[in-house]
Amino acid sequence: MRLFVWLGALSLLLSSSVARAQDRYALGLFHFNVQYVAGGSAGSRLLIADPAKAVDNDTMEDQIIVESFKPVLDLYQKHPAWGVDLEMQGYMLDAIGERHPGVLSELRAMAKSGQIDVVSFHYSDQLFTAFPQQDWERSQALTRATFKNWDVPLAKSVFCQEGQAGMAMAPQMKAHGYQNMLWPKNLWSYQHDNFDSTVQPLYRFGDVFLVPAGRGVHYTDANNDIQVDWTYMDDGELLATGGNNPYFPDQFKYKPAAVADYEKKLSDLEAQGYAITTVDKYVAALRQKLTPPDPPPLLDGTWQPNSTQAEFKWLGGNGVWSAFGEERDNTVRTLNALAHRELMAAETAAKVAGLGARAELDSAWRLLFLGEVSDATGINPIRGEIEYGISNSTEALRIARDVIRQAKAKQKADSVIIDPGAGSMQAGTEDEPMRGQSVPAPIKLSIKPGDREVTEEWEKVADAHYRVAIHFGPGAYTDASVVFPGEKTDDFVTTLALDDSSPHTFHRSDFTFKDFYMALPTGLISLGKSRYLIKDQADVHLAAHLRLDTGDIGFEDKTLAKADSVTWVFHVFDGSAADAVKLADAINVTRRVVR
Amino acid sequence: MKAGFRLALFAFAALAACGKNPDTVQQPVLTATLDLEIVDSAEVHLSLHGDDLTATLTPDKGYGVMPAGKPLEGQGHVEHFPEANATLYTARFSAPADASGPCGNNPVSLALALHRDENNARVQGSLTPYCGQGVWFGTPAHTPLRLSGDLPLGK
Repeated sequence: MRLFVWLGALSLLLSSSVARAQDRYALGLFHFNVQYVAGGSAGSRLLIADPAKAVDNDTMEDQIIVESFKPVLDLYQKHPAWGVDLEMQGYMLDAIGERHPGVLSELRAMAKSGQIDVVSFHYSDQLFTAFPQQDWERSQALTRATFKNWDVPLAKSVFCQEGQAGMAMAPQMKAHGYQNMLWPKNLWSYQHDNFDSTVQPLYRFGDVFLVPAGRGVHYTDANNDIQVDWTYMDDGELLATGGNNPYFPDQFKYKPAAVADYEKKLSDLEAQGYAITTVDKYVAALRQKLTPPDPPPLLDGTWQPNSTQAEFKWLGGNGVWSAFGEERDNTVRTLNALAHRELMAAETAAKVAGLGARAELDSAWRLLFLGEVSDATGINPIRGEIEYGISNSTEALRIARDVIRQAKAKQKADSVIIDPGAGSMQAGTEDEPMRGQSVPAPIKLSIKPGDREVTEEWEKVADAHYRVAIHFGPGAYTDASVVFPGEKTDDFVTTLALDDSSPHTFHRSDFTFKDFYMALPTGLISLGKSRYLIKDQADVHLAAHLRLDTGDIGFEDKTLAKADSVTWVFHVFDGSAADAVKLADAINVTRRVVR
Repeated sequence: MKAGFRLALFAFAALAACGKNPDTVQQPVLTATLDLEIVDSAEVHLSLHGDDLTATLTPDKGYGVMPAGKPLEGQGHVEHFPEANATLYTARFSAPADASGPCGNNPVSLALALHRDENNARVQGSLTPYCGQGVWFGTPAHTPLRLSGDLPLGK
């Protein structure tokens, strides 16, 4: 009996001592982007002194793979006990598989062994937080098919282009087999200034998990002493090239010394007892030790909101090259939105007509994903990147319209009404359903047109539903803005990326920022308790400027083309949040069109 | 023969545009030199017949998918997006095989798509090559070639 008690005490002591031993984790996330200079560097003003240094699209992609990706892969191959997360768009895996079979073999073997995780959430490095859920659904499906095609395991962890993250990703991650969200630390701390003093090593994220990415944590409790360090969380292209980026092709070269420095850093950490491992293995270990808390409310955004003003840089904010009049955020993003709507109509038309157009439609969707590439409008897009976004979108649009043309021919109809929301196509024509009778302005807008002539035309579309078209004529200024008056309430309502069908309510009092620019994937944000504003995203797709000190919502474009006129169309709706979400869907997700 | 027929059509349309035949409704002909892949150029002529068009495009560089300096001729459409006050000009071209290009010994199909917002002079879009004759979708042989510039509507 006494022996049993003694053994029990010893066991308790040993388990306590094991639990209190410090668990050390060294995590690394390499964010690779083969569309770093989408379309190549031809015409880049960065190379104006020597344009011959410019490279075309495929050469640029190859250079990224050879000079920056392979050296990182080789480093980890040299150390089979080291794990890491390598993130890329599905399109990059296609480029590796088609043109770099040796790299593919190496990547595949290391991913299959479980040493590394190959992370991918979207086929193209697209601004998916600014577009309807359907675009990402199809992009993710193509990514999964691409990984299957090249026989590379798709990791359960998620990190995205520009560090895009949103709360509604959680259920989608669960539904699509993902488990670990890498939420960028700055996107959290920008919204909640107590982040640094409250950060935990692991959170729940709906039915999956969330890791504050890039933020080291030292966590202790009665049973645990956990040290987490991030050895890398940045553009993957920059490690092996000593910080040189692909915009300078002649300098974007593998520098063995840079990799050796990083290798020494990891070796030192390993000697100190750190497990150099993947996020997935880290989460698997911690979920056995901790009860992860829930994160606070977080708005959709990107990984460096301080310098990009959240998503403004991609939706109206200008970059360093805008002085040359080449940046056109609204042109690119409204064209993306137009192509989305046309593809939804084409899907419906093909289905109703019994047209075997799957391959055509799939190729058009793929082009749209490429066209939605974030770099076409930010952070400092060169002209080639801007036109890459446009050219992929116009070809997607052409194919979509071609499918509709075929469907009409099969139905022997000169004109059809296509309603993707209802899944119908019928012969005939009708007045544009989102137009109405001209009325005096029901609310007073604050418009700053610069030197451009401006007109403001209001229509009543239905009871409690108004449409306003703000037309700006050509001008020398590239900046124009509008502010819609809103009632200052603590609550505000919007839809979130990857959930088009639900209103999400946030509270201004939950946040510590002064203002925040939101992409609005379906165009919707509230202007008070029961009033909603909806962008018509094929006319205006600028970031919504939300402030804590007012209920007003603003939109600004600093990238207007001097010679062009432009018309911004918004809808103002009074009613329930649920009905506002349905209206936003009808305008931007499943637009009824006459063709 | 086919190309010659198309040339004749284009010439007829151009003649009509000049108003030489008083019995023919004047059809607009849109003409411009657009930037091709930012640093090169292409001459573009669109002769509009209602919502159909005849297009000629002469690139100064071929990118392995079309002959440089030689006109491509094709037919297409004026696609309207009234709800967005936008227009898309489309056309289909065929180019011979270029063994040094991405399609090797296969002929190349090239799809033109030029987008215009409102009545702005500026258009922007793509010339997308696909390997094979009469192939108008799939994975392009080359990233869509970028076209942009002013293509005024005229008076």
